Amino acid sequence: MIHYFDNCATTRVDDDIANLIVQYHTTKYFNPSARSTFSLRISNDISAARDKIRKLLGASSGEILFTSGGTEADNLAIFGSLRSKKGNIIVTAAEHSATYNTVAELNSKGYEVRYADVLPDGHIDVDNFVSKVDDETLLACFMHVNNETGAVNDVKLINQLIKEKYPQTVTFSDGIQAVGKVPVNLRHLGVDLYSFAGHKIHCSKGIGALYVKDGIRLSPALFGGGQEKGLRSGTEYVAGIIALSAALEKALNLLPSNSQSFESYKNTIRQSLEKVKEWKEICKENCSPAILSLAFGGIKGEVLLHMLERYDLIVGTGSACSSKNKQSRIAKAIGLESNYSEGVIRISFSKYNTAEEVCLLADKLAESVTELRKIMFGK
Amino acid sequence: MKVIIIRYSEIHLKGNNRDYFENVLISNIKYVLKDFEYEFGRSNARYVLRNFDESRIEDIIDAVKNVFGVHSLSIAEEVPSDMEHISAAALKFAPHQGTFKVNTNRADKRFPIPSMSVSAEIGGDILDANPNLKVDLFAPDHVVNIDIRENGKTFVYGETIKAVNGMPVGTGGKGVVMLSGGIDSPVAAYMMAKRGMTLRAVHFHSFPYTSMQARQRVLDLAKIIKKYTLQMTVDVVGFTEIQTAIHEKCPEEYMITIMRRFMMRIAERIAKRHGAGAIITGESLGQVASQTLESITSTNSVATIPVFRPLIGFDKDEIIEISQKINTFETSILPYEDCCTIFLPKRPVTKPRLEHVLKVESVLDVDTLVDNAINSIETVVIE
Repeated sequence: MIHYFDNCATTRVDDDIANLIVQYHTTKYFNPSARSTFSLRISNDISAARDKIRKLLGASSGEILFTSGGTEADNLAIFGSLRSKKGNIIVTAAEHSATYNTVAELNSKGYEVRYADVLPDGHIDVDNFVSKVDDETLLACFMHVNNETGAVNDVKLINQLIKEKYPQTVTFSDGIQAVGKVPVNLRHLGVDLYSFAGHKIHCSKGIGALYVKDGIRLSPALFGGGQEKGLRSGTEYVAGIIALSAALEKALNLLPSNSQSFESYKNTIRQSLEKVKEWKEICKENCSPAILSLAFGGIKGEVLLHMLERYDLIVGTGSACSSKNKQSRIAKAIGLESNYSEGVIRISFSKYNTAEEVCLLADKLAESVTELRKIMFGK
Repeated sequence: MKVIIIRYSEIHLKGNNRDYFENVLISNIKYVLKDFEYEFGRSNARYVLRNFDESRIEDIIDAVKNVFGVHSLSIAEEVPSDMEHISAAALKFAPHQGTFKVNTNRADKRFPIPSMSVSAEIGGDILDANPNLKVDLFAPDHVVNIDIRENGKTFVYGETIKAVNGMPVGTGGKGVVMLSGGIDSPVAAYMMAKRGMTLRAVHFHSFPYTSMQARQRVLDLAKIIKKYTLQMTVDVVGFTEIQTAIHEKCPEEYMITIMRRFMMRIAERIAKRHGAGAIITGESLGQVASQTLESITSTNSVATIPVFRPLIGFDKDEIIEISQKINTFETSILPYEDCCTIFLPKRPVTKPRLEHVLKVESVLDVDTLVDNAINSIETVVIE
């Protein structure tokens, strides 16, 4: 049996969600834009899902636009919100590649990109970030939960400080690791744009969304039949949209109890690692309960990951989305000492994890680190 | 009728062995064309493909131009050897603008008009059809070629498409190439295949110190180079026991030297098992600590068959250029731990003395370790 602790990379789709997806492929497969009554029903289902998601995320107004996933939502937010050909964009090096590389693309198109600092635990250095805002700042990008360290940023505060300094700046927060994992109330957070994705909350891959606050005008990402208010043409992934609203509802219902379990799982692992030397928890405070990011001195995270794989324990080594690069940009951005920077593993929980398998992980993790160090330095 | 002319390279130099070289080349061409319908013909120092599906002509050209031993290809019209047909075909290959010349080769001396006159007459026809063109006999933008053969047929063609040259794979013996997954070794394999060598690959895999992705990368690279080597089998050798044994018992700075000696021994055992007569590595002199003359001396001394290092005199840039050309570069740079990086000593010895290497290695049970590694082999035939 697989013990899966890489739920930041993706999650198992719930059986009932999978059934719902099948249903919208086999019996309710009509094109929502067509003229039949059957199509109208599908169109109404989409509208209901859209309203439900908006309410679940605490937004009384504004729009939810469906996309193919988190990356597309981030791209739509960043490319779509620029209203001027001149100006600056603020971002941190700790952003997910979907934001970081999209902003870098804008840099190559002539926009000025300002990089704000990140604290050693992965939190955004708020003062430094806000100090970069001026009256030419078009867009500020600050993620809600860091996908590698789990650091939860004070999105409300950052948004407020930016708007006080220059209200015209569009604020965008990547909520992909936040939705369903930490409380999210869009009205309370106040940001203009907020992205999230289905496959992080036991829904399928291929569906994501962007929240757009009232009054924020976007330019289209895709042209065609004019779906999604003309901003994202293409026949809607109906099954994904319906499933996303159902999965989100389930995730939010379970959020309090999950958070409690996850904190106790973290404690089990911490206790087991007491007998191991030279390790650190990268983010200890204001951290997502679902993420435990650990750095071990002198060893390589990838090797540790494969050692755990021997016991069917699956963990991550940071972002699966940037695993095509050997060095973690985020490990560098948070200034992790060189002895630790290659030895990072990310454990991320889901509701399917049990206390029993966490005990197994805790034991085998301590055992594998010791074994690996003995092999490497044990002479 | 549209035909493809295939010209071969230096095998015409091979005197009495020419039939052998040609037979191998023909069988290689037929192998890459196994999914196509066509008729194969031999003509003087060239082959001709006829009666193929013209909509797949680009695919046929792409397949054949990567066969070692092929010098160049042309898409031609084959017409009866009379001026009317030749002229009509030549007009099809005439350029729309710029300068041109007509080049005539009259292999059939019975053809009544001399070559120069054929060129002049056909050139005139082309000019009549398109007065915007100009003739340039010395540096034309385009050449229209007319090849009057002895069988009463003439080939008319324009562009000549360059192929890879080299020697037909299968005429240069058999070798075992050590594929690490990096940039160099696939290029080394390509270079040896270019000289006609049939190849088999060996990869050393150290799970959990190297990932299954690193192993997959090697299989992916093997698939890319199979386009040139025509067949490819990879022996994946479990190397963890050897690595940990060296790490435990030998001085850190000798890790790589001794590891390479084991790889060489295992590669030779595999070579002998499969009737191969050489080992191929991607080493380039001085590139890393294990590629100094002294290190190579230490690793080479365990081999009793020739070890070919086709990249020994190449700069990294030159190697990268070839890897980009043969399409292995992007796969080679995927960032997975490979067996050389994981136990990489901080200060590897750059000038190991063989006597000392033998001494530090003597604590290991070399034969048993090699036997175990050989027994661990998983053979993957690349389809």
